[in-house]
Amino acid sequence: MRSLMVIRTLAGNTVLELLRQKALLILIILGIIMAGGANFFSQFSFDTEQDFKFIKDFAVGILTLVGVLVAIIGVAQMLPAELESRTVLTILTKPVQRWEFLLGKFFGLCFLLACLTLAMALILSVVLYFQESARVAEINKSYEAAASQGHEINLEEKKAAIDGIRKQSRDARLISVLLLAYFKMVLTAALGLLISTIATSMMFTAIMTSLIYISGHLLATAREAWSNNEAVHSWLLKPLTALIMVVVPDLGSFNLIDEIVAGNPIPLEHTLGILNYAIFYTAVVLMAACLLFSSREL
Amino acid sequence: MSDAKAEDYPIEIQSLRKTFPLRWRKGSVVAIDCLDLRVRRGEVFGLLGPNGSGKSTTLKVLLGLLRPTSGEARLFGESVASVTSRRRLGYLPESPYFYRFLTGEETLRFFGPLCGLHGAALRKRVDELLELVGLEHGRHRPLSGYSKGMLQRIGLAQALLHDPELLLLDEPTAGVDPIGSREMKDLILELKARGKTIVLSSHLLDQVEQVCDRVAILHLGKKILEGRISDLLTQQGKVCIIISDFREKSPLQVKTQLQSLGYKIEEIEPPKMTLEELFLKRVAESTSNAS
Repeated sequence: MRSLMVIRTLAGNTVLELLRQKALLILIILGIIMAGGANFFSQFSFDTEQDFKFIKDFAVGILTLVGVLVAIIGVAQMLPAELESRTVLTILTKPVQRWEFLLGKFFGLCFLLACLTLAMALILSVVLYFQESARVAEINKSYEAAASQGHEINLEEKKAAIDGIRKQSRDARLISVLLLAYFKMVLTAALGLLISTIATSMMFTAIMTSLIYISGHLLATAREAWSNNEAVHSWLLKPLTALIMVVVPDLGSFNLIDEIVAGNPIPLEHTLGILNYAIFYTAVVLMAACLLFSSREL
Repeated sequence: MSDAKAEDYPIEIQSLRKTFPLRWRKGSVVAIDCLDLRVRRGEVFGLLGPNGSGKSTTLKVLLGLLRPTSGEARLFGESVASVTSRRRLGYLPESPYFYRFLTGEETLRFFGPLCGLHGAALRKRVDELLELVGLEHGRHRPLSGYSKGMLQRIGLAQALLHDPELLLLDEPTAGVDPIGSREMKDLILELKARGKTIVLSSHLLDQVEQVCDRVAILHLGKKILEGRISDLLTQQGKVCIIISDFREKSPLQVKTQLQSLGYKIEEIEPPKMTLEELFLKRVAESTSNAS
């Protein structure tokens, strides 16, 4: 109970600290504006289905990019800044465990990322709603025009057209996509936190976290290369590839937006499987970070 | 250690040694070597020493920020490695390290839950402390606008938040003007009167002399002297006689009289006040004249 209070206090303060960083704030505002801008860019397409796919793909892409950048920049500044300004010393001279301090900082960042994801999800919903309303109004208008010219109206056809648009805009698969995009940010932040416990500079943390993030997206390629012995035969490359495959999380598997673009279904089991993987990986990474930070002399 | 002994000695350091490994080279630097120290309950203890003598390292070990290489350090009988050892401890860092965007009140409200305080009890304590350290006027001002003296005062307030029995003050008047320094000294004496045990690490020997009961001097990581201020500063076999209404021709007569009694007179001179006393007196006079 006491630990929860400590973590909550530290998390709340971390949110305030992060929001005071101009670079992060600009990034968040820019991301929100760009997500809203998906509506504008979709005007260049003439296919309803493609329009909706574009809006979703664009908005989720922006959300992931901004979210991951916020996670990397936020986590890179978090611990090194505390160590540099020595505020960590004042906090740790209180009856505060080092793991409580670290988790407080981490959950503060996670809260900010959750707010960002929710804000962008809300904007995406609004954009999709306006698109849906506009398309439905267009259909109604065209059928009304046809009726006024004396043409026979096929109500079944009209209903099917409207249902088709609603199916595109009210896509339940988006919940899975956004949820996994959020957990990808959380996992990236946890990896960054682990690095920052041994790093001495913000730049090192940011670069290493970015490299791991990129490696995490290339894991499928690495697996392919590993299974093909011809491609990975060097004495150095082989163990290195093996190490990356074991240590680096498969971040590419979190990208479910491709399934939406391809029009494939997203089974719930698949989402839950990746979610479990993300939670397990994050927990292990956080435990390692807490262990390393506890043994660090300040 | 028995509980009674632990309560009598809030700080106990035995054979403490702390070394720091050198990067890229073999060997290490010895920061503290074989330090034994016991601080009694209710006393003001001065930790003195030049830069690099091991004062800060000793404090950091006591605060659990550094691990001893060997030996042990205990707070109220508990190892400093345990977080619970810090429940009865308050610490004022040399340069208060706080979030500059928070106001004075917000700073105390932030540290409250970390010390186990919340709700109405925290609000009441915040009001009490802001009054105690004289910062009611700075309550809603961000710390970025605080002067050095105000920062020291908010630092002391956060150290006192959970009403700890033991206070570690690292250079509490560093960079503070003489008036602020005097106020801090008065606060330390007030806290002592309230029964707090205080460890004061400082370069300002005058201040240490005025407030401390006992001192230890560290040099190159070793304790070279420890004892009561009054014992250490008293020059055995010598006496100082202060005579009021002293006449001009008196020195010779006094000297002759005392010499006739077999005493050797080293010096006869009017008593002097310290520069600090003079400064404070004149500033107080000027303030009263202006008002």
